[in-house]
Amino acid sequence: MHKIFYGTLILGGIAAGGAQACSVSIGEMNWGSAQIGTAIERFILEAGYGCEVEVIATTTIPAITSMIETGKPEVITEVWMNAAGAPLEKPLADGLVIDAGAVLSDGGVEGWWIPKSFADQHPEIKTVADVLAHPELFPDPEKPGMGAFYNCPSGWACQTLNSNMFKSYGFEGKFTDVDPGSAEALGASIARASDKGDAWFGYYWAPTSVMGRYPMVQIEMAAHDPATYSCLKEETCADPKPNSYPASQVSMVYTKAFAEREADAANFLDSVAISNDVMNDVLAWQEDNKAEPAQAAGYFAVTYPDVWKAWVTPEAAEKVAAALNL
Amino acid sequence: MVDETWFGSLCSSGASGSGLPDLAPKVSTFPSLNSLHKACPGVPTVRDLQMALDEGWTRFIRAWGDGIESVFRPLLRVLVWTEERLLAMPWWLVLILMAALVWGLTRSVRITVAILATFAVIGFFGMWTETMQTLSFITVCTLICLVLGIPIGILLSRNDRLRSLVVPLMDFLQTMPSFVYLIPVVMLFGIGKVAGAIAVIAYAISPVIRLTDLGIRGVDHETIEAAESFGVSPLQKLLGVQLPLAMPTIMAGINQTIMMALSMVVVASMVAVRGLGMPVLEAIQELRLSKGLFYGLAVVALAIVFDRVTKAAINRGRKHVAGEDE
Repeated sequence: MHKIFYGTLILGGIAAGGAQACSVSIGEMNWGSAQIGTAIERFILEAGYGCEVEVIATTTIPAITSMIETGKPEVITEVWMNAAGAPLEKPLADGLVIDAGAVLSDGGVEGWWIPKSFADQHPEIKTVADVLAHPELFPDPEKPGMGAFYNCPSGWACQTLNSNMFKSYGFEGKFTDVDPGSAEALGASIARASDKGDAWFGYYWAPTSVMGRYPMVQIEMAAHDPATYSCLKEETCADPKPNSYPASQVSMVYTKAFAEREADAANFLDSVAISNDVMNDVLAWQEDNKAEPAQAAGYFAVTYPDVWKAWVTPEAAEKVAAALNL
Repeated sequence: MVDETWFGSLCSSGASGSGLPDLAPKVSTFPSLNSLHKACPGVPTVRDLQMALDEGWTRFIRAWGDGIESVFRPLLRVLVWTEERLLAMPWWLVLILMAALVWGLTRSVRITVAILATFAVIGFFGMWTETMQTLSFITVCTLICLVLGIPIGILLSRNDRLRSLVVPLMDFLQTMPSFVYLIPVVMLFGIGKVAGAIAVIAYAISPVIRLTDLGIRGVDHETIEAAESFGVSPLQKLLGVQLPLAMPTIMAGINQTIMMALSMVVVASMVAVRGLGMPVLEAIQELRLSKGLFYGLAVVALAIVFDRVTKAAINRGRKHVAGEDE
């Protein structure tokens, strides 16, 4: 059945696109869940709302800057507010940019993790204190005798947060705070450890394809305390206190100009929300099949029709279903 | 016709297609392996081939990873040791040693003073630590390039068949986008100095090999005949005649190797090599023009330093060679 599929649904999208003058430019973030989300939204906007969609491949900070300065992209599909929301605070307050609400309805999970295979061999490692007591289990190849903590890449907001938490839990002098240099390298270090059954200890976030593919166990940290958390965001935080990440609000944002011009499309984007279970399933399917984001979006559209049908008007739902041959 | 049974069995025996729905607009119309796979399930899809390759690499790493890693452990020790020594030295001692080295190589007051001034400026702008990290990393990588590259170049100058094998390999390594081989290297060695060094060496070793080969091939035949008429052994001919006469060309190769190694500094930082590349990556993430420019200029300054020193050394060498010829 699926084989007839993709020719038809593209034709459907294009035919509908010609009918109206709706146009959207979407900034696609360069990680798994955002790419799949963008592919789904693009398809529904084209097939259901007759929009002409331009997708710009980018990452958070450049996309936000460009959105604020030039008004393009008009939509950013996934902004992790804890990690990267700071530059958006003012435009959101001024009403120039509108928060369309959570795209990942459960919020993102950020934390410190170890591979599941390693956790199974070492059931005694459960909390931050357990890790701290055993630097020898997580050796840093470049600093004999020290453990390694894999932090966020340079320049990410979570790098400062992690480094402050690293200090607050007393890791200094026992572990090195490793800057992996890039998200790709951080992901590859997890892949390598999981493939070889080695130890790995560091920061990562879910839902992501890395988490979908390599099962990881979260290390128990102190309860989240909003009172001492804001200090951790500052590089100059004098006395960081042990803390943990709150569930991250993962929002879609779009410009005021877009919302006024394309009210229908904006209404649809407001209701887009995917639970972590569904997103993890789609990401895992994508990893297992080494599929492109657009194919994973197709898997989502076919497997979870009730989810996307709740986002759209009945007329749009019919058009999308027709385009999908459902 | 001979093929019919083979082809028929191939087509009926293959795995059935996964029939992925694909929400991407279809642009390419060239019949890919995927379309052949639809007609004949025995033909693997592009994805099947990629998955087979990935799984093969994972199996290879599981089987040989630890062994290969231990072979490269001395390289890691050297890289770490050099960086630690250089960082442990007081800045004035570094400057004194630098001045002595530059003077020894160039015998030029102008160049020596200019280089000391460059390092002083780098220090004033707070980039000393990163510059020392890059300096030590690039120095070790360049030395390895020379230790491996000059003998390989000598072998190539004597063996045309070997040359026809090695030259395309070098072309491949230079043209292949570095991140492509960084991923398998990181899976093998983990992120850090070894992965970065291998990427730098793979890219930067070419000029020294090529120009050693060229230099030795370019030595005047009459000179060699003259040497042979005195009954020199092949080793004496190489060390006493060919290498000294080829030295200016080899030095030009060394100069190019250093420049190419420096150009890889940012790429190496993407797999967690500390140094001037890290802040450049940070500046990209934070969109800070000034920071990127400062650290970028420090890389340029290092390149100019290396370039002037090697070029001055080449000129002295030329005069030396010319003097002997007269």
